[in-house]
Amino acid sequence: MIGPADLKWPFIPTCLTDILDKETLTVIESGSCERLGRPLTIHDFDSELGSFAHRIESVNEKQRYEEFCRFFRDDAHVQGGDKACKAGDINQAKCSLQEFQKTGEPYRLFRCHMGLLDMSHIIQIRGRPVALVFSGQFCPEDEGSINQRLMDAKANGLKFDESIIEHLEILAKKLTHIPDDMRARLEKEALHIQRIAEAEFELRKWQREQIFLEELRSVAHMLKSVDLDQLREKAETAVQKIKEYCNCNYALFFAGVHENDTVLMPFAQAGLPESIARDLPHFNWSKAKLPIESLNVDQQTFSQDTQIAIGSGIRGSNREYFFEAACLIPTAIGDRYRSVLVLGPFGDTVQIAAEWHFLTEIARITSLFARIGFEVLFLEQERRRWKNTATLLTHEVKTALTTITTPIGIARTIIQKNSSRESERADEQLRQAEDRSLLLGRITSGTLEGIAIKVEADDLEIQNYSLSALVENCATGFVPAAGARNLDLVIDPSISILPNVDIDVPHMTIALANLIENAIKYSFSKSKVFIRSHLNIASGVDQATAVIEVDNIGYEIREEDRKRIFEVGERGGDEARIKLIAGSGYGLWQTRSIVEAHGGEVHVKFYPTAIRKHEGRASRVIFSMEIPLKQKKHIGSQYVSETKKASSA
Amino acid sequence: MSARQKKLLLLDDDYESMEGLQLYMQNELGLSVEFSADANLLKRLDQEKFDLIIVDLMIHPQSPNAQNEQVQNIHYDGVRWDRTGLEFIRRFRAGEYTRTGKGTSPSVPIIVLSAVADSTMNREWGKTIQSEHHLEKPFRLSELSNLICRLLQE
Repeated sequence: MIGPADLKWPFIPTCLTDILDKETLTVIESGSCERLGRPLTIHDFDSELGSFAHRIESVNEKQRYEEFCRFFRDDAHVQGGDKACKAGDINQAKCSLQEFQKTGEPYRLFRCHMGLLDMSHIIQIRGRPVALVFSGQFCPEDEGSINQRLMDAKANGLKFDESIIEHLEILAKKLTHIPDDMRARLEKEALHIQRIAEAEFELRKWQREQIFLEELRSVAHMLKSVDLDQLREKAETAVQKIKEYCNCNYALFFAGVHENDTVLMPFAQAGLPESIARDLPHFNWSKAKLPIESLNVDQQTFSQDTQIAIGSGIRGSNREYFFEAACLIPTAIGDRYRSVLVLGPFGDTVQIAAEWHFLTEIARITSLFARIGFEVLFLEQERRRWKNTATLLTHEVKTALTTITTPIGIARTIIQKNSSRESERADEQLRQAEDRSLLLGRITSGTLEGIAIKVEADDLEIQNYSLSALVENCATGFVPAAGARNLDLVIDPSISILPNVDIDVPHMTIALANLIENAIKYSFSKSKVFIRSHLNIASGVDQATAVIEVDNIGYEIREEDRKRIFEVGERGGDEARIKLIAGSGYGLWQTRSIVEAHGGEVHVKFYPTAIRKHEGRASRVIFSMEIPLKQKKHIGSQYVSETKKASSA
Repeated sequence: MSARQKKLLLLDDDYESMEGLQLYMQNELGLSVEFSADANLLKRLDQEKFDLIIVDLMIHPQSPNAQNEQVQNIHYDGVRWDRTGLEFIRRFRAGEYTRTGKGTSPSVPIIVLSAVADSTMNREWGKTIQSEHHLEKPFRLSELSNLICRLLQE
């Protein structure tokens, strides 16, 4: 954690102890004192004081204080001496801060209240002063001024007798003069402290940002069946989270709906006034002078000039409202799918250039989810179109076959009225013709619908993507559906360690969604559906595969049905029971088709369980899909998995 | 009354392919068969007593009959043509076409005879016909004939 829990992004700390605890600072101080051969104290920023407050504990020998200072600050000798020194430090710290704010110079040389030469150096995190270090206790050039200040101090209320003054005068004579390299040495020590603090800050900030990015990745859970409104709703949830996390006035997300779109539509927003949200502008990628090809977001840097240019891409209604936007972050996936995230003014000071990498990551995740959502939507629409075509064709073919089978049936009825040997032979011939026609009718729908759904390797658009994110998002999307059936959907921790793999994300999302949907449909109420994974590296790292299992308990499936469960239009299980569950029998076929197009395999295993009180004989069913981690681009655009190549070799 | 004297409605728009079946049922099973998907048929359901209805699911809004004349078939606004038969069954079972009680009983047996009868059963919207008898086209004539006889004897 950086500082208080309510500290908002970008988590710039107000004081050094927000980053490093006091014990650690004491260790750092000791090291600095050792190297400098001089005292060094760290003064943390105090928000209430509006300056740096003294934080160091009692003075001791290890801190290499000059004997003069130790003696003076010992209340047994000089009553009020320590208090006067501390007050002097606070006063000088305030002056150093004012100087820094005025000139930007972190180093300052000055005289303490007793006339000794001291120096200070400001410690900054991302340009914000969070602490100050003091060092010094050197003899000034006019040595006699110390004696005068002793007199002044006594006159100002400090209590010490003449013998103490004499002793202090002796100690003052022991003070050394400031060496020429002292400034450089102090600056070096200050830099050490600043580097340690910055490194710790960056680490903790990164950790906290990663938690948010994970949260953002899981906002838009993937479901197989989505419509545009559902997709927009999910995107708005993500955009709302971005707005809250970044503490900005509003967030607006423009997305290209189709491949190569250069005019992006306002797809999701959060925080905009209703009058603006009702009539949003669009974004013209070309007018913003953004490159049509090779926009590598990781190489994009932030500058006011480019922001002004990108801002000119906002066109149409209410565009002037966005002139005050804090930043516009363009992203492009594979040079084809473009999007822009616009963030309104931030509530706190944000150095956008320093935060650019994080901001582009946020935009990239939002864009990726919108993209995958669109793709899944389009694939489903396309599949429905094909299915409707297949249904129509099925109708036509079967109707035509009916004109054959019906006359055959009538002919048989007539022939069967005669009992001659010839009639029997003719009837046998007609029976065979009738059987074949009926068989042709039965396989028509399966063949046509199977072809409509089948996915070939050529249909895939492969990208390297986190399988862990895909499985987790897809599975989490089914939690409500599982809950509605009184099922507990358990996402095993093994999912979180799945690596990046070469996959077509929308297709693979559909493949996995089919398995989970299937498990939820056929599981016994109040049972658990487990989703787990493991890696298979038995054939070597290059041919490694990721195995995702969906494990549930449901009715037993007959041995003869098990073999056909991944075939077109097949639904395993008791016919009477299956009738009660909606389903086409094409989901598992589709999964198989997608996984095989990736060069993978699907499997199903059955284990008999104890006979259940209400449901009777049951089976533990484990569906699994095994996907190669790497796809190798083969001749043309065809992707052939290394696993398949190796096995066929 | 014997099964041979009973009246059957064959609600199908495949006028050409189903004509043979109509003749078979009349000649071999001795049934009185009304074969049409004409929209005017719906009014007759409240006036005539049919003992059995055979329904196709996919009915085009219009199709040519045996004389090659365009027939305005049953059609419901907002319902896709391939679900017309489903909608007919839902409304018929709800008593929408038999308000006077003088015509066909809404509980007469129905046989769904369609090219997509089986696959329709598995879909969410196929629940309407789950409790009906169904055969998928192309069908074995003897199977349909046995089913008709059994239902008319019940």
